[in-house]
Amino acid sequence: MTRHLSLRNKATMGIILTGIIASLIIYDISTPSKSMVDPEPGRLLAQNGRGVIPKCSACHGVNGEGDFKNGIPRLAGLDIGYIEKQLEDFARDPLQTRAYLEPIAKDYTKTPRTYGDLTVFTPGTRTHTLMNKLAKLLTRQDRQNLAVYYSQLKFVAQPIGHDFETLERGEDLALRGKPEYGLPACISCHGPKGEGYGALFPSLAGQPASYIKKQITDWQIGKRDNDNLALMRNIANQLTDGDKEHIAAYYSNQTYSVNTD
Amino acid sequence: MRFIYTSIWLILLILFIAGKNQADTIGQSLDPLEVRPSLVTPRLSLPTKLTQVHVISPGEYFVPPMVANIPDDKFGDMVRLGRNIFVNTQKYASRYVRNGLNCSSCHLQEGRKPHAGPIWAAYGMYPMYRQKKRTVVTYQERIQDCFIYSLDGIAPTLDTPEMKALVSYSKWLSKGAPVGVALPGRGYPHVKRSQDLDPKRGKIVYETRCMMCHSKNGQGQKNTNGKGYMFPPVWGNDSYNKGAGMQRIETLAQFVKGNMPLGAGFTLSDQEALDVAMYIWLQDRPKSPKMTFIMDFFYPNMQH
Amino acid sequence: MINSKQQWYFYLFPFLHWLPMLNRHTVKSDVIAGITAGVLILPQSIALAALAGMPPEYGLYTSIFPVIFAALFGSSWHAMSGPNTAICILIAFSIAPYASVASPEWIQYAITLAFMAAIIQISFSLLRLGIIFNYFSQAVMIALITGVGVIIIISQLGHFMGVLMNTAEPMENALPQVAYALTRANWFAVTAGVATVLTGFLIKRYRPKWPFLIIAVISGMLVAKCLELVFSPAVVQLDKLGMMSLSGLPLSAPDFSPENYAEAAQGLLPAAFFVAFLGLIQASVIARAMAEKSGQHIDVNQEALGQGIANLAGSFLSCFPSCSSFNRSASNYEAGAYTPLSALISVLTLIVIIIFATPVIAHMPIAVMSGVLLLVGAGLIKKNDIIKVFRENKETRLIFLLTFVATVYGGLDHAVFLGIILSIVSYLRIVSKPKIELLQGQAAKQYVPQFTFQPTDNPMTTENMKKETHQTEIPYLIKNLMLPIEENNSSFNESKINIEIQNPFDHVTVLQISGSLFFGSAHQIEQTFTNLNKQDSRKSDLIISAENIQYLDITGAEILKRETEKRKINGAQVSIWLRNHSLDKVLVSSGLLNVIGKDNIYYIPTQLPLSQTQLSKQH
Repeated sequence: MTRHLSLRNKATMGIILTGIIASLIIYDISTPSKSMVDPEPGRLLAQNGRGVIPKCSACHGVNGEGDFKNGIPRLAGLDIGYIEKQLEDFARDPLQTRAYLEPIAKDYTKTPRTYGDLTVFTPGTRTHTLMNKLAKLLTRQDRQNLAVYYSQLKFVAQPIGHDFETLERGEDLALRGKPEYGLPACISCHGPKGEGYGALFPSLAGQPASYIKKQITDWQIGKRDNDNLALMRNIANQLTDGDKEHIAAYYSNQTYSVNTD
Repeated sequence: MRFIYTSIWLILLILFIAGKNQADTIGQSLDPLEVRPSLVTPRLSLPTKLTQVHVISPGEYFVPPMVANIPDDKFGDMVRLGRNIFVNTQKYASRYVRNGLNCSSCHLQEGRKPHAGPIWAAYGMYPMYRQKKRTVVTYQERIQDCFIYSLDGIAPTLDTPEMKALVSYSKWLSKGAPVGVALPGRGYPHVKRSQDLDPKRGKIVYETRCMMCHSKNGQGQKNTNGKGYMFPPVWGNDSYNKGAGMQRIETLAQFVKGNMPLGAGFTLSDQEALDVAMYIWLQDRPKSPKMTFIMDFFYPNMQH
Repeated sequence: MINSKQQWYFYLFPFLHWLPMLNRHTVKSDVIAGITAGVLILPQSIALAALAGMPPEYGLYTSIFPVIFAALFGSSWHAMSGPNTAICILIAFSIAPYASVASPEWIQYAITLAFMAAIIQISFSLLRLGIIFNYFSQAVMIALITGVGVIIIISQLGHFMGVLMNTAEPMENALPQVAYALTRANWFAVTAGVATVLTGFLIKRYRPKWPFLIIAVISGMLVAKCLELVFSPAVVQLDKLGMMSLSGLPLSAPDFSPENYAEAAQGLLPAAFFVAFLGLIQASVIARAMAEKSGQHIDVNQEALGQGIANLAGSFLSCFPSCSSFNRSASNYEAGAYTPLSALISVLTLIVIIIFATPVIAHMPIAVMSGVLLLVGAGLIKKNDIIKVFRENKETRLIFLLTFVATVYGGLDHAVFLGIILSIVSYLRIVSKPKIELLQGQAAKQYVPQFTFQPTDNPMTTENMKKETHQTEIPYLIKNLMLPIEENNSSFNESKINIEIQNPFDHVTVLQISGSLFFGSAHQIEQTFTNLNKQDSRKSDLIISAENIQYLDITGAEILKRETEKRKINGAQVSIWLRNHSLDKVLVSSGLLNVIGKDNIYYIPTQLPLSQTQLSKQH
């Protein structure tokens, strides 16, 4: 067959083929790998529930915007992997892991200590009465569907004003941390505007202030324990109550929007 | 013939897409249920030994002025420019930097963190004799060396606005620190090895403690807008070159010991830090400007 | 005949002149010339930006945007705009007291300067003042350019040696600095620089058609790279240019806000004037030179407008002041360009080159760039022009030396100022020096009307013949000093005049005045009359041959009137020979006609040489 093709025709076919492949590759590179999965099943579950599972929108808002007055976090626009992992961690029973670490109380009158021979990392648990119960009702597929649905929702934050001293202190913490404590800046992992980075570092901007404060407290007392490499635990252990207020105030003051383009 | 052409293209396409998918999941491939193996023998017992953490007690270290207190005059403008260059070297000193790092990639927290090469401890010690250059070096020349080696770039001359800005920022940051005194927190903490360094152990440490942020191939992770790095590369073309201070195993181990993983300084043991430093040292990075063509060709890993 | 409406149209859109002219042949030549020019301009733009104290990308912007506008709105079809050596030095001199080199303030001042110079240039054009640039003395121009060349060479020696030197220093400090810097010189940098300069010279000498600057740069960079490979970059320690961040549309704006501009206003305002002036002078000189070669008709005001619009647009696009460039225009013409389309093509070429060459330019050592500037500076010192100026006459020599010394030691802005003054003075001196000849013998006889002619007893002996027409230029400056005049065969002293007057015309003095007799030359005429008075005590008749007087104004007529009245007292008479009736109005209005008397004013009937028999009294 190829013998019947002239050189010009072969060249033309080669060029067309290369063009098709190249355009596929370019398309693949240029578009961020948004998953092409359907958000519909997740939406159904989130807005209607299924059987015993209540609808998520009852607490987390019709569009996943959370409840800023009551400190219920927004889910809209969070990273897919993050939502999935949190749901998994909610569903995990601490006793299952067969490793229970006594949380180290943060008392500044005592000499700080750490487990010097830590060779076991718990896979991560997150303690919350209601969410523990609900997350156990979800199947793996449900978790993925919900993650897909919530991650593509839009959200625009409403910045809340505070006095400038609080904001200044919060900005200092967010951008520079507490060098004299060795506390790194929040932006070094959570993104330059607190928008989060990847599935491991969730967004801080656009979350209720009381939620942020509660989470840091949970890290400190060990109720939340699902950070990789114990990063957040070490960081939370160095934040005072005042710092929590300032950080929360700073991030609730940020202009933030996701999925709005 | 046409079949061969088509098949080659298809194979390449499949490989490309497969590789891309694999690359997407770097950093997340660590199974949370995985038990981090101990360095010599895997231990499955629960941790019991509470040790004292070398705490960075705030009263011990110099506290630089707050950024909100930068003065509102022309000197303050220069300080602001210097801070911008320090924090976002990629954007503000783009003329001179050639790799993907910023000053604050190593001089953590805008050059304030003790045990991470803080600027306030360095500024007062210059001009000083540096063994590396066999001569007395001024602060500006030290900054030039940083650009040439650690940022793998071109040194700004002494009359450029970038140099002035960086020196202004350093001076402002060191305001109140005594001159010529080796302050606590200067440079990096001391490490002492207990065994011979083993890069295989270092690889294990890297993959369990470092890979989550710095990626399996040491390339770090880029910002979401594609410009610059969120977590800087520790080896490869976008990292420091072989003439940098970080290329000395001891210096890198000291840095890692005091600061890494980020926020959890002093959690690695000395030996772990040295091992992972050795592992990183072995990797490929741009060649040193101090090497001539001949030397670099025949002795690529010569430490100098 | 172009009616006024059409002219307005062409004035606003001068490219309508040459757009219809484009055909395949011209476009092809223009494209070739444009590509050549684009390649030529790249090293110059970077080097000149460094000369002006700006980061290199501003040189590239200045080689792109003002060139487009000058090509579209200028009058000359072959002149190429862009960064200019003298203007760059002027910018550096002017801004140096107010900001440090290459800082954002410096850049902002340069952009503001471009805006101000543009406004001045546009006003010049709108006020139709373009013609005054034709009066700029050639000697001053050459002196300025030579001075600029010397300044460049001296200022670049520091960079050439890889040593950091203070910029914009007075020359008497800069020279010893160079000597002291020799001990700290970086000999690798010197090697790279010498390679650049040597290559440039050799190429210019043996292959003048090749673009010598680019080849010099490439060879300098190759030498630097080889040195780095052999000795390692850390030992060679060459300062490099660094990566330029170029933006497609670099918008900027002049900044006149009080906090940024007030402190520099005192220096920048005169600087803007000098930049504008220098730019327009060079533009008009180049336009005329190109017009000479190509035969095109140049409208100087249009050219000024083009330059002004170019600078105006440039100030909003991050460019520093620019003007036409000698060497680029000349090579543009040599390369065979027909229309300003070649300038537009050169801009496109430059853009294409930049896209690919930016990573390469990042590695250009500063020593190589200073080598380029040394070549440029050496090219400005044109031996032939200087010799021409020196040979012309004493005045131009003096002007040249003064301006040159002012440029090198006083700064380019003061030198431009001095140059303007010297040009004006020299022009005035030329204009206000009417040629006053005391005519003797045959030449004088023509003017003596028959009835006053005294037949001479003295035949035309050889002795007398020698003293025939004897030119006495009476520069009153020198006369007052009683110094001899070199150009004349005889020195002017009174005794000689005595001898000559004793020649047959005892009672008649014939004076030929040519030029302009106005308030500027009044003093000279009065001096002449005073000198004459010493000879003949106003007793002899005075015949003024005024046929070559172009301009007579009231003051001049008043002087003649006074002289006439004085002579009348002594019984002598004054007569005037005129060529035509054009000066009648002045004669009447000043009253000279009444004083002299109608019958003492004669008109020469024809242009042919006169013979005595053809004289006639005509009114």
